[in-house]
Amino acid sequence: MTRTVKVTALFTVLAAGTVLVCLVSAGMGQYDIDLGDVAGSVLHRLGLGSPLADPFAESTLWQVRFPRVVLGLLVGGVLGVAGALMQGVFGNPLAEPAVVGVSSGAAVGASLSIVSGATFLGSFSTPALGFAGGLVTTMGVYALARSRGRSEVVTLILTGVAVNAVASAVIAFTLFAGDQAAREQIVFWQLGSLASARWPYVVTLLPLAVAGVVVALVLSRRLDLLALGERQARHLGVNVEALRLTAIVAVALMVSAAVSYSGIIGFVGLIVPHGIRMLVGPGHRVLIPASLLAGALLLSAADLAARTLFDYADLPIGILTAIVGGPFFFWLLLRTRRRSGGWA
Amino acid sequence: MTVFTRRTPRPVPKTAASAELSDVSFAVSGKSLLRKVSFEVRSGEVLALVGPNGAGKSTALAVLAGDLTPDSGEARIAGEAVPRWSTVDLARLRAVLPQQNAVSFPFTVGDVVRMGRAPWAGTDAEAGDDEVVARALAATGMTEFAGRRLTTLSGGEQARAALSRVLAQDTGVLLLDEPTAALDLRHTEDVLRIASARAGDGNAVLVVLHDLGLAAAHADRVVVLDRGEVVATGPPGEVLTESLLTEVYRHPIEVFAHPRTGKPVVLPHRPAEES
Repeated sequence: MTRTVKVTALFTVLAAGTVLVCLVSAGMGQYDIDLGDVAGSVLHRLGLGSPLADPFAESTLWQVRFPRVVLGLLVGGVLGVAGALMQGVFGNPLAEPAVVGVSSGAAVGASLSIVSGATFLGSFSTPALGFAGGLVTTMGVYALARSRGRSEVVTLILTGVAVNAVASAVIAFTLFAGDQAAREQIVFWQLGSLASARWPYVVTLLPLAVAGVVVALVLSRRLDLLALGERQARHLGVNVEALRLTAIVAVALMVSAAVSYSGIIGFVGLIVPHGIRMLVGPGHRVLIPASLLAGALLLSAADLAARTLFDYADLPIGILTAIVGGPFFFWLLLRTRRRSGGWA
Repeated sequence: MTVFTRRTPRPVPKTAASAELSDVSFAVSGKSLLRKVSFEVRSGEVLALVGPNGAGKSTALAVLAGDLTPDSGEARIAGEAVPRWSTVDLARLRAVLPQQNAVSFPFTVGDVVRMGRAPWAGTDAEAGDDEVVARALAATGMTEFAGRRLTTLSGGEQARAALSRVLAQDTGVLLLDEPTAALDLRHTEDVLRIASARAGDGNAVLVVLHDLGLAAAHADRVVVLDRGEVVATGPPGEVLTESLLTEVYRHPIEVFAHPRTGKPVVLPHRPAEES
């Protein structure tokens, strides 16, 4: 199979899979709706066909199911792209947004808002503080890990480790200080869930997600060059420092915005780019858009499972991604290592 | 921010292919690595930079490449001080082969060599990409490896892929740091033949070498560095003498003319076995 055929096949399968999972996910739940009706309702809103006969199905779809499906797509896509971006910038397939402290920083902001009962922005308060926390933490890590205008990968990752340790201490303190209700909320936020999805959240996340993905696509060719090494990339005309800074800001924006609505969902940013790289190679011009689709597909499927595995219960999606993602990641590593004699 | 600026083509002064260090000093945490180093590599010549371990060869090359900023003195490419060129302009003027060329992800050899064309994206030169890449692969004998992932190659093959990438950059100045370190006899000769051919096309080629015999056979001129200072510059026949090399390497060295070519052969002095 030539590479072009492979890439086209991959995108087709990912796109078709995503659409299918979305339709199924919108139809399944405590009140089941026919796939045909789901599609019909979407077409109707697009100005084709007639409205659904069942008004309850219509409102379930548009007020409960679709916001959640779309939020899942956005969060998954953003985590996939952010993972690919981070791995490219650090030249390390094990780098992940959580490594630079976006997730734990966002968790700190969110926990503080939950414990203090901040309501300055209404129901946006927790996401807003989560976002602020993630952004500040990431920029802080980046500033601390830089010396004389350069940043060493090892220093940056170790700084991330230290920041993560401090962040978990702060989160532990908020757990200790909070009342029963706040504790439960913080714990659930840390486990990750799309259950709170509403249209306004989707609308605020969308522009940040689009901006981040566009930046990632613009940087993709330069990320390829960065794989040769920082020095080599500079010799080929890449402004390495500007590239890194832009990529890190993009990641911080996208991921803080996403996790501030969904809570911490791990492994998507790690596994998705990994899998794509094994299928079609490491070139970022394919890796980034493919990670966007695959992340969206993976998280939609995971959310569908989280909602339907147990009757009358919504399993936190973070548990699911970790329990499936951890062993899968391990298997990927072993397999790749055997085949090509190194971490791919 | 420069990441987003469209690369504006600027005519590359091919005829002005030259690189120069003038009175360059460089120290790291109080340890002086280069002291008043001056030399020039001109269009049409292969200049070999030789000297013992720690003499400052790689540091000199890094200053010339623009990776390090000298404490005093100046590095010039194509007659202009290095900091006055933009990153992209520099990438169109000089290509650099560092000693370490590990690639983070399993790109194919073809992908990597094509990355050498990155500085020319958006210029007229881009049209010739395929041809230049094919020539660069052929020059190092890597054509048949083009579809292979770098991680599956031997050290020598990876080194040749890296050299191909540097050749594909198609610049007037080539700075090669120990390009022959991982290579067998035949490919070592190939690399220096490529260097001579590029010099023949009017390029300026600087090669850091450890093998003095190789420098003697292929370089037009040799610069000998010792403890951060230039101790000799000139044609190999004049510079590579027993007395100078014995002093610089702190080891007795023999130099004699090759019986057929007449070029200097440099060997460490080894006592004859008693029979």
